Amino acid sequence: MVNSRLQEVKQQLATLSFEEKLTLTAFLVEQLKLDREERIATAKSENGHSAETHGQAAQEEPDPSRRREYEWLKEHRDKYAGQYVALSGDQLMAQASSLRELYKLVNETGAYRPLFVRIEAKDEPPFGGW
Amino acid sequence: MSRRLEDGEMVHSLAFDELLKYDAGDPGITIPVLLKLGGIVRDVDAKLDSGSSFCVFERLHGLSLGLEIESGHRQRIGTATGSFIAYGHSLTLSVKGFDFDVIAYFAEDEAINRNVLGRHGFINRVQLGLIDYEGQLFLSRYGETIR
Repeated sequence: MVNSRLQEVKQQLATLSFEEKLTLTAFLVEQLKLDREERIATAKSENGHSAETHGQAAQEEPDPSRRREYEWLKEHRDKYAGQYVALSGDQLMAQASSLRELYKLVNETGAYRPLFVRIEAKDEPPFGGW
Repeated sequence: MSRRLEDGEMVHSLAFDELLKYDAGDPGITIPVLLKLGGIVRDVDAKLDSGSSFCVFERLHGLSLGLEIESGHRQRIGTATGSFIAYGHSLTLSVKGFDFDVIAYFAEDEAINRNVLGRHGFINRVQLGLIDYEGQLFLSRYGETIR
């Protein structure tokens, strides 16, 4: 019963535009965070410790300097010239020729807060400011 | 801080809280930026551009934050060859752990593929030191520190 309702909702969601799906994604992420906070709070009150101790390790906050990502870029810039890439540490999470496609891939992989970078093409004139 | 040497010459010095290293071989001064809104965080790299009046980001980054781009403050932005439209939205912009509540602009046109940190929203919120030859950018929040 629940599964058929979920299927129905999924079919309806599939008809949304890209922008609507992004808005919906943002909403769901927010809901998941609220759910997760509630679960942790419940686990704390029931067991006296965090749900994170039960195999749900908190996702590590990325280094604000993104040192490993920029080291990766230095090494691979030529190979991915003209591409958009999503990086987590020294891992390439996704690559695409457009940001739209990259977001789609990142959403599919579920990568946590990758750094979005557009690598300039080799034949691209240098950016002169606006 | 400024002081006069014995020979009468003035010298000036500044102190900063953070040092951000960037690749001096990169085409621009590129630094990682966090865009935060309603619990969503997007990590993008952006170019420092003192010639840009505003902080401007690609349209899709705004959409991914859940923004309706065209509902923001409409602003025509001039370039060397023409202009484009962007829309301003309130959000938190974070660089190297410094959070700033700013109006960030998102390009109307998805084809605009630049992320730029300009004066309003970033440069006028910080104290900056730059040694470009060494790829070093020193940073403090304006009005704080100076030890």
